[in-house]
Amino acid sequence: MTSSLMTVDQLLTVDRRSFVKTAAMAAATAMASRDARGYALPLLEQAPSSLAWNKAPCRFCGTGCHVMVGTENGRVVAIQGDQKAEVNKGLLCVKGYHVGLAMYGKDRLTTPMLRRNGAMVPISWDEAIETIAARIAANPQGFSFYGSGQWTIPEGYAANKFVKAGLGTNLIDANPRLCMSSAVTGFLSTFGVDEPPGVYDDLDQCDVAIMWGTNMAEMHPVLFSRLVDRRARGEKVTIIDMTTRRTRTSELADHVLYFQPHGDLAIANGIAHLIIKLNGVDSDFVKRHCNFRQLGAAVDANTAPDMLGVPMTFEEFAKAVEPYTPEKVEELSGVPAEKIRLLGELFARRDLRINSLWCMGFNQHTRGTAINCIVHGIHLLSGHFGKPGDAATSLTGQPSACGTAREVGTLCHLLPGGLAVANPEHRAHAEDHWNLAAGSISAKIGYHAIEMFKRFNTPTDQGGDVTTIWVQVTNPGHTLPNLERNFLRKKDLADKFLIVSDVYPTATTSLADLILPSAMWVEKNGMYGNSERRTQQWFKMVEPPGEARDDAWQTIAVSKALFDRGAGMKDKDGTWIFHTQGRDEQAIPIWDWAHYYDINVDERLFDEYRQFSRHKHKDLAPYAEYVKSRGLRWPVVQQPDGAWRETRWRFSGFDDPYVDKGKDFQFYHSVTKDDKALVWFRPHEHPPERPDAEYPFWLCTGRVLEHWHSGTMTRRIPQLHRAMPKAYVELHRDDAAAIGVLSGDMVTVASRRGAVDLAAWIGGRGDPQKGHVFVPFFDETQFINMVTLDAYDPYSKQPDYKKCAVSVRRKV
Amino acid sequence: MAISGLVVTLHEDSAAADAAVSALSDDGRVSVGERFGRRVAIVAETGSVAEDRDLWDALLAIPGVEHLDVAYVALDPPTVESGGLP
Repeated sequence: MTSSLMTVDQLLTVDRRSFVKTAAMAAATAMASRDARGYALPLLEQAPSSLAWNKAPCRFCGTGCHVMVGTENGRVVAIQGDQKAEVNKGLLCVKGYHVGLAMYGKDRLTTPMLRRNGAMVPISWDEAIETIAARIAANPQGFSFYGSGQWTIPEGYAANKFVKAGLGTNLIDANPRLCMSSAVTGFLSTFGVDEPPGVYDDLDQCDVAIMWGTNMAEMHPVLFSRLVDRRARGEKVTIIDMTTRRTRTSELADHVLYFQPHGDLAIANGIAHLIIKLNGVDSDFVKRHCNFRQLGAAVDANTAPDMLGVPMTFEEFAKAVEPYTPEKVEELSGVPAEKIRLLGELFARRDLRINSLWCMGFNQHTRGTAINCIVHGIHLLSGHFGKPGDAATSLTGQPSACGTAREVGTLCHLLPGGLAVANPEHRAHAEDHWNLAAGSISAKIGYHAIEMFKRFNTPTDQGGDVTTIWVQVTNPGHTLPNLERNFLRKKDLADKFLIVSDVYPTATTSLADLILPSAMWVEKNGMYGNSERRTQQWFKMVEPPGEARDDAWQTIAVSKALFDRGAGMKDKDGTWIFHTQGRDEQAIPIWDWAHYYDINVDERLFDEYRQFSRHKHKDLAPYAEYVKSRGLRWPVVQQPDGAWRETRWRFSGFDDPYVDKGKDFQFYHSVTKDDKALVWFRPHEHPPERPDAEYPFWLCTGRVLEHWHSGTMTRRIPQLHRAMPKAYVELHRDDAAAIGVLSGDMVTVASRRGAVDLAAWIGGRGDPQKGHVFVPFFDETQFINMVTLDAYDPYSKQPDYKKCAVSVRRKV
Repeated sequence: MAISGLVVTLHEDSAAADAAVSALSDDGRVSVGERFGRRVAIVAETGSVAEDRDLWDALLAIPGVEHLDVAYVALDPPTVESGGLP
């Protein structure tokens, strides 16, 4: 047995290895003993050491775990789960545990490079900035910004202002379009305002946790630990895994329900049917707080019906879901009727608290908006809403998909603070905040991600009016679906110009005309917003390598170069839109890297941005409040004593300050403007492509525990790379036998769009149903997105990476 | 070399949990710390990245081990320097 605590004297005398071992045991013991009363948590930052410890949110997924970052001699040398953080309470997953190493790959980009005569040559920052400014000034309508849910909040805000205030277009979109925009349209359709009403606390208080097509044990492992921990304490938590393949989540679930692609629409409608049949409707809640809606008629065959829909009565809704009997749902989804009854019976019970959770399985779906809406609907219908543990929760895959894309509004149809480009009043609010002349902000919605890249990869004289794209903090050359159509055609189009700001060479930089080296994570100040509306802040801790610089500085420097050219970037008084001055009212030249850190630019940008947050009741506190905390969940509202109070359960009278006094619930951004939420009927529909004789398998793509998205960071961490070095294709053993394949054999996975060779894995970590295959997308040596389909949801414009038809043949 | 502080969540069956703790104690790469019900703190020390993976897989494969969480890791400079796309 090793002692977990040492005295200061002991700490001063032990060697480094012993110290580190003791520190590791102390941290683990503290975590293991979370319920042991009176146990003192030994905080490492208080231990005698040459290390400096500071807080930061993890760089990877949307959970928003906080880490303590230990630095020494200008380098990150230790990572500890932050025991003060409510999100992770000191725990980290294997990626978070290695997050510090992500900065130290040997091939970091350290100098700007321009393509000349086919080769990338180093250039100065001045030349890089001027090159971009000249390109944009020549054709601002042909310029698009493509960003990320890994943009920090100030970076995203700067880019959004650059485009919408500085250039007067809305030609900006971001990769959350590919990962969670269907969740956005689901929330908007149901509540009239984006983002989850509930929080992670629901995981601690639910009786039933339903995983709707999400492998939470591997994709959000620290959140999954909250459920596992409760079981370890002897609490009963029923975990239901609805999935198309067996995963580590399935192994820990009480019930595993295997369904066929798009079967989720039928299952959710089947639950609605049973809630009604079993008298499980919370009639009082529904009568006082819900309206019913369905889609209206389409204008024509090529246009989806209006997203606002048309009213229907409860009786009409009941009639619409009447055909979704357990037996019919079994036929449509493949889930046995008795399991559908189990789900219906759970929702019909008022004594249980039910937390539905989902991520990409729902959102990367050509009916993503529909399935999001239906699941909100069954929670509302049954009254499983707005009480701790009763919640429908979408999880995100990136650290600031919520904070930056959804809240800052770095999508082509949004303005900051949840305001909409299409709404004249919202544009007027933005013009007011930005001191722009009335009418300055364009009413024309820009191009969503797929449309942006389609146009960029189309000859200019054939309608390809996007001629320059600036990509920051993301890797579309790896992650767009149907890569040949949406990315690779650019290489034959001489007048197109691709600018990429990144930290490592990627599939995207391989076709770039100009590469800008960026600072990452704790090499710069930053703020993120996680999946539970929690805004988080950190300070720069180490210097970036070489000439790498902050993405926000890059945007601001180009903005100044455009302003100097007379190419926009000014307010109605002719002042540069990023004009910054100190307390002495002297201008601070933040476009000049030498002066960028003379002040905290993040603080300036954030405190400007937060003025937008009040319109949609997404109130943010001043920057200084986030410095003091491990994040705050909005709306954050100042109290009479001056303190800032966060909100956990939105729309619930016991917690949300914007609910009128005396009301139990109030949906104060209601689509129908009567404080009611909408329960939608959306029918089951088949996906646009299904297996046939030529392409007989379903393909699903996704992530693995060790790698994060396109692997540009995690594949450079030796421990993670060794643990999962290559992509693979999971095959059912019967299918493998039929095509004569053993684990490790190479097969070709092909679709109508492309093909990729992969090693087969049978009975491995994941196990698909017969007729299904699964391929992780992290591996840049084997692009599964050459194969995937670029069909998308008509409302969210989010593509479906989870289902298309493929063939699988043994590679000869 | 990596030194990690881990939390092992044990199976609810107490016999299986006890057997798992015994198996952990027999593994020379692991120092077993205090146990709190179904959770036990351990420190793992490995000499190479291959050992990292082997150990992780081996711990999860022990009957009675339900889940592993990471509480701490020390990143020794030699490991940091070795980063680079293979």
